[in-house]
Amino acid sequence: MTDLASLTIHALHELLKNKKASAVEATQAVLQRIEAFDQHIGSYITVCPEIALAQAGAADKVIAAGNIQTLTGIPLGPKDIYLTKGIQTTCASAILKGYVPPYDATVIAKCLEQDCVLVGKTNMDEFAMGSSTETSHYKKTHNPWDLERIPGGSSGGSAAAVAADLCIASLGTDTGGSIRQPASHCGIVGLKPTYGRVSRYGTIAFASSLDQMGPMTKDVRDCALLMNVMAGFDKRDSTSINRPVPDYTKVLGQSVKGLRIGVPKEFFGKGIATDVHDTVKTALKKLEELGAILVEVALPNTEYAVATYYILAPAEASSNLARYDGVRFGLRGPGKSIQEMYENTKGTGFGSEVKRRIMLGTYVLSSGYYDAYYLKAQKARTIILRDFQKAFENVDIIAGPVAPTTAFRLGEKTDDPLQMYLSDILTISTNLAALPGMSLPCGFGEGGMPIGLQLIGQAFDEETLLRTAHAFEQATLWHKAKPKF
Amino acid sequence: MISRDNIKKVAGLSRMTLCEAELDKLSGQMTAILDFVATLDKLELKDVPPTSHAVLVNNIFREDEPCLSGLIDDAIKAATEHEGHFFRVPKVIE
Repeated sequence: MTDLASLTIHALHELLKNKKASAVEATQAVLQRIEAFDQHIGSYITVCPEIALAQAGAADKVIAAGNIQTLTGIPLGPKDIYLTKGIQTTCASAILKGYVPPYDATVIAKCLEQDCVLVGKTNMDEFAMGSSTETSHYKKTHNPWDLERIPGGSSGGSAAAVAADLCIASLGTDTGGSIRQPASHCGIVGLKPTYGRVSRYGTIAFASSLDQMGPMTKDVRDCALLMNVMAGFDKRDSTSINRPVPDYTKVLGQSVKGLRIGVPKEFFGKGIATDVHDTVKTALKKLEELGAILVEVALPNTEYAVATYYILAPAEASSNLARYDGVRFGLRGPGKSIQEMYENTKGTGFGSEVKRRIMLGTYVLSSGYYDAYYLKAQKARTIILRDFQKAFENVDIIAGPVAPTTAFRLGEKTDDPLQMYLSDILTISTNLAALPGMSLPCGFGEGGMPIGLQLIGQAFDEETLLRTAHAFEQATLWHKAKPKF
Repeated sequence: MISRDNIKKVAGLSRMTLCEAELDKLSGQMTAILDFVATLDKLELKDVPPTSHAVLVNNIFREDEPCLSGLIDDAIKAATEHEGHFFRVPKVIE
């Protein structure tokens, strides 16, 4: 019998619908794999078998009553940044150890309304600050394709769990590439939707003008299916956009004939490893064979994106993370006065990367520095956005690599924060411009490490990304490859 | 170079204690990062308007009607110290 844990959402859904498998069996299969393999991968911070099996039992009753929906009985492993009622939510930080939220994030509630199963919460960089999942307080996550390498970050636990069949699909978050870069490094599909397309309510905030929630899946169809559930207006998120949600699966199977794909030369310049460069170029040729038209475009200010981001994101983070003061939830440090308590709570509760970003953010916002840093970065954000607007006058989507190299080795960049930040150079500008971006498997580089193809769309045009990704996927089948560990 | 004293001052503004080793390390690291972000000085930005949100968002208003969250009992339990429906903290006013 097929290992149920290895299935996609749509394949498992067919088995559940036709009573060829039960949600309890699927959940047991996933839990057994976690038990057997997660000691090597380290993709979960929390596993909750009792809750998962109870949810699966309830899902089986729903299915027996003939009320199956897309996610009914599907075991999911969301990133530990989503609030989950009754299940510990840590954001990979010591400061939230043992925190059990009293409510669900909107997207989790939407999945639970369809009677999905939550098997646990996946590992990540602390407060999503990192590109390798190494800043987690709890554990290191290993890339299933090479256990000596990082899975990417910050949604590294999610990417590793999907790649290693330790869940059917996951939900990640992306502030500067945190869905796309780990998806690329682990050989799975990840989509960062347009800012405002998916509710941020109940998802722990890092940089509120950049954070966006999205699916991390085994194929493009699953990505479209999860988007159908996740997307939509939420009155509880003041930046959620009120516009209709299409059925994202409608475009799957449509041709890319005549589609104009912009190829920015800046995405293939200095610092891009040869294996990544060549593999992505081959992928673009494949899209050309499928009928798409490749057009050279310019994004001349790409080189300024990382600098812009590392002013804006820490500034927003320093404000967002002020709430972890020991008063209402999480860790409380000792102190005779309230100020001493605040200071000791943060001093002992946050890890070094989080402290670094709070310090950077506080510095750039402090009196006398606002114009020199924050205002300048907001202006730079405008010119990065204008680059995209100009490029999209002539093309439908933009394509290039996701990351300059394949997954690097554990520990390789932990002592050099600037080098770590530069690994986000190809993903950050999409967040600054609020555009949708996607990573999908497009081949393997040196040492058999996966390489992702990045597709960037116009605002609210996730459909063209999914259509293109699906056409490419069906013509290449790179997504079928599984790691051996 | 951002001095150690400056780092200490920013830590104070952040309401966060840092140990001696952290102060030393951050002094070098923040200098390197801020030198790097200074590359933005190369851009001509005088007449460029700032962008805080790349997608046009308008604030959402609703009627100011009181309603119960139903979460008070659960929410208060997450605090280290609480008393009834109140969070307990060290004395604020002498």
